[in-house]
Amino acid sequence: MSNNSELSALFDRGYEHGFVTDIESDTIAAGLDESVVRLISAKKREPQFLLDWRLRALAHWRQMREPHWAHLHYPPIDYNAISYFSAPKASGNAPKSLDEVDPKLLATYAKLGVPLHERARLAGVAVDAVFDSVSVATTFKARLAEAGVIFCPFSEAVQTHPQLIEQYLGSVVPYTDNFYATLNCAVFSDGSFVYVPRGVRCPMELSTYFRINAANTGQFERTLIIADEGSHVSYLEGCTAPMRDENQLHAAVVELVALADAQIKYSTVQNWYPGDATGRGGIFNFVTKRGECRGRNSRISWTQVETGSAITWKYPGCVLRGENSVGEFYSVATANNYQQADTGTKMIHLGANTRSTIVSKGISAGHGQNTYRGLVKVMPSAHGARNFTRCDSLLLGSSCGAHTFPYIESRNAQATVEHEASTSRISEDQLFYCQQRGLGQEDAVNMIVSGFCREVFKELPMEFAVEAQNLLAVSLEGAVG
Amino acid sequence: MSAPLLQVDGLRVSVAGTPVLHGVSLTVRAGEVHAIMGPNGSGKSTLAHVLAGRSGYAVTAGSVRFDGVDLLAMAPEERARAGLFLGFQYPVEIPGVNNAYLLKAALNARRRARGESEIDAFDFLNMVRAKMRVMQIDEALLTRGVNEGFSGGEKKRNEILQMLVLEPRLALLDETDSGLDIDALKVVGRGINTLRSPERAVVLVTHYQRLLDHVVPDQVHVLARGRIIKSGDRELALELERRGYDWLLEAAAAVA
Amino acid sequence: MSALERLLGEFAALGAPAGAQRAAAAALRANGLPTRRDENWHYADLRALEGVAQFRSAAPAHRDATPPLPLPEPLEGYTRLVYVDGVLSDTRSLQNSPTLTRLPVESALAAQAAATDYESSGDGRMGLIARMFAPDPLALQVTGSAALEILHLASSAAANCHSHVSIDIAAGAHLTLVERQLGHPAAAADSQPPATLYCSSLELRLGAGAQLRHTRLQQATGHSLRFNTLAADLAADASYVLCQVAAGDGSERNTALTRLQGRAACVRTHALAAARGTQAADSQFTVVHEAPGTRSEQVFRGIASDRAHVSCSADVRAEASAPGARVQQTLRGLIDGHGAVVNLRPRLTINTDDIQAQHGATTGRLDEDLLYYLLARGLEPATARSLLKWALLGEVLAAIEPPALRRAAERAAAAQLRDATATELLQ
Repeated sequence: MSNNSELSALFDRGYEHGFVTDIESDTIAAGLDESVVRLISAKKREPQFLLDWRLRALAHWRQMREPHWAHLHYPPIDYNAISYFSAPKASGNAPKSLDEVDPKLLATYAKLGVPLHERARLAGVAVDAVFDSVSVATTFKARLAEAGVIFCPFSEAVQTHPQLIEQYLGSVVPYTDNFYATLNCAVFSDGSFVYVPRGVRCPMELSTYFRINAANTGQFERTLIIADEGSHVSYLEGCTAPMRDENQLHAAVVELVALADAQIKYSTVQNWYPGDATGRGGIFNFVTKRGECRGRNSRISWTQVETGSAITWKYPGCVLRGENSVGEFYSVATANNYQQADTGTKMIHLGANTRSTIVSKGISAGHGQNTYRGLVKVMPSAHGARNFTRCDSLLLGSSCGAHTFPYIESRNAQATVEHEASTSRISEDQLFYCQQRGLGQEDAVNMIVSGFCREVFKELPMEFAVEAQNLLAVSLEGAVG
Repeated sequence: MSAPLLQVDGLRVSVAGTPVLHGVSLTVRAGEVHAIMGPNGSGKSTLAHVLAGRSGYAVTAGSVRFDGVDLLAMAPEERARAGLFLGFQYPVEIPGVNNAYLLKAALNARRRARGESEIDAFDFLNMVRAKMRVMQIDEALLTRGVNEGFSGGEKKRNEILQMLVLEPRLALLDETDSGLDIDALKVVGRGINTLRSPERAVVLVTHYQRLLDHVVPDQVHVLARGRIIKSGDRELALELERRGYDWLLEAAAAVA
Repeated sequence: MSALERLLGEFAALGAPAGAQRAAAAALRANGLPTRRDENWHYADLRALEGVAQFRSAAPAHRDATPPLPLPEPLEGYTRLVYVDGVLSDTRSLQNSPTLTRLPVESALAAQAAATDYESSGDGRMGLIARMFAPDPLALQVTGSAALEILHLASSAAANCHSHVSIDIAAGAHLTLVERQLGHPAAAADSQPPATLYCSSLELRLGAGAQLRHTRLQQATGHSLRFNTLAADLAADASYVLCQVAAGDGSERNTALTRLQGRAACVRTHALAAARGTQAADSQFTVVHEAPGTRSEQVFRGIASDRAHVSCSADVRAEASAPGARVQQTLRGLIDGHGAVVNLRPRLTINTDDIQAQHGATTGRLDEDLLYYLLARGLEPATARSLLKWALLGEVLAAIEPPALRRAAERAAAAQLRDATATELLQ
């Protein structure tokens, strides 16, 4: 956003990932029953324990009701009209190398700016590309293997490391957790798996790039990251989808486990198709993300930039079990046109001297509705626990809404919880100041808005901070003036 | 004599329905330094803000021409790009927006308006650093948010730094001297003098004459109750310093 | 049988009450009692409600029965109304006040008939119980300037006290209103289930430019369970200040809805709750900004000792019709016991862009730096802790007028905090 022409280019661009890849897919019929779950499990040649787990989840899901407490309005979702599995048709087994990947897929990711060739621009980032719930390529596997880091599609990990899956799957987000997570447990198709062994600092950024392509399919991926004692890993997910008039369901689950002295940094740049300017189409993004600081001195940090989706429902949280463990949540969420976002975090303090920080920046424009919803819960065992929350909302336009719903539940006399929040529109004084220095109104607004989000952007890995900033400008297109 | 750079004629301005300026006329030519002095509430800041194009001020009569063009018809950013700079009395903090970034964006906006190319990042940094030395500003402030957590003196020096970088044709400095200690006043005065040249003009809006010890004005105007009640040279400022404003106000009241 | 079934059964057994009361019962039947699954009832002691043995008022006390405990000193210049078991014991004082007019009961009932969504299906549902069972509904109109004190007492340790009061404050009129819930002295503080049920419903309508200063002091002795429901509608330029002190025995839930319907109307709420033992003190303050230039401020201070639960939800909605609204919330809680719980929920729902809204909420221990400072000045730890607690509550207590009432509130709070020094000082 360094000058006008670049900026106006950004503003004219709109949603640039809205193309459809014409590729033959293996999509099962719409509807959900036990046979569908068995079929998915069989396609993946899963061990019995996993199938049993999926079936338990399905049985539980049938007893559950869709939650409606969020500040969201959308037409009812017909869960029987969705296909629960779609994969690009492959000629037999999974590709062994990039050479075996369908060139159309490679072209898709190239178009999205995601480097599947290891010599590409983001040479320091290993990428797992997930296309309609199925992992199509993972880069830098060899170099990661040297360090002992496992980074592979979830379905591959099920084959190669079933003991890790059995030990950790569902240990942070149990299959009974909530409506969408339980649905995911029953029907998830793929996702990413990361294991960083004891004492290892992962040599590069890990990244998964999620792409929804097929119509009328739900995307249910599942990510599991385990950082063993004393290890470090930084992980980033990006998401896009074609422009379609129908809404599509995305119900992912992410589980993070940090053992003693381990650190996980999880960043998301969410840019699912948000629907058009009249609110038609767009992804329904119902996601459950939770990390557990299981060991002492461990640290989990969530950073999210949420610019896409018609509906966003997600609360990446931390269960701070280990003594001295640290949870962080940094979020920028925008809601423009008819987007609705209900997002925030949950920090559950169990261990002594656990600390958490929450920084949330919400931007509402057009008819967008943006809600911060956060829970800070301090249990009686969490002596000396501390939380600090800062939650700011910015309104650009008079038809949008900005809502702040924090929940503070403290049960420990030695704990401190602090929450601050503000809601306002952009300051006239700041605008005039920038204009007096020669900046046009749109540039001035963009500059002030990105300043507003800076605290969060600086938490992103360098390679993605710029992308996030650009996305922000695109997402607020037309919001000013 | 050259054509006026700024020509204010019979300017009347109301704020929220209340008249604040009751017909102000002022002519500033390139190369000149004018001081507009007056007691608090006399309309000095209103005049500065109206010239810079801030909303909330209603011009009910009169005209302003800048380099022969109708200034009042221009958006605030167009005025800035045309070379009008306002040094704010209370510079705004813009959290998270890098100081250097704003400076560069502002400079490029001005350069583009002049049909010049954008400045090379390296040249920009060298140029800014040199000017920061003139203004005795710590380089670390470049990477901080705009005025974020700056002291009062730092904010004022930062305003003058921006002025030096943007090289405006007309600099309107609104109470730039307020809240400065003796040393800072000297630095700010030096900064302003650096800008003086036959192509540029400076209008100092001030309550006290002490800045005028460092920046010697060609003309001094006294603005009171929304009117310029007396104009003169440097001597007028010194007289005001000795005698205060009351004698002038009384004289003006007697005439009215 | 569930509490709802029992209370509807009791209501049916009362005979043929007025249509408006039946309408309240029908609304309750249709919508049910709140449950913990209701977002805004999550922290209330609803289990205690299930344990209530009898909902209706006991055999109504005589209208001229001697009040069961020595009444507090009258407040100077106030008209005093005394409710015993929900029955208005003496209304002569009203006749002496030229600015307070008692409207016919039918009018009060008519007001009941026009129940809003808030009362029939929203957070105000517990007010329906007050409407169904209040033996003496009262409607007042204020013109000019008036001061009114309302006392609620129980004639025995097991008497219920339900009331329904509706007050119209005419345009430009001023009212100072004091409400005190005093309970019954012989009631045991820890009887299980709670011996006494209070359900009150208070409706306030402020005309243009009207002013209301309202102090609620809950200092009921005995293990009572209290549900206070309040709805206030403010016309243009009206101003409403509510000071609420919860420092009695038993558990309570206060639900208040203020609608700022006229331009530049303004509401300030100062509330404190001091709870100990196994008490649950829960408050839900909702403010809806419906008109331009409206302002609201909510201040809450809570201390939970022992195993008590103190909760406060401060809920502000600014509608698109309210540009220029100003909103401020500060909620602070202190936990002073293992097993004590503080829940704070400052909520902002903003649908206009011309807004300045801020909130802050903190829970925690006493400020260690301040504590250290006081200890370094030679104060006993107990004294230092007590001072800091009073500092926390001070902001709310200081707003209480007149001084006699403030002292009563301070005494009640000192008793709740078991602060012997303060109690002695306040005697």
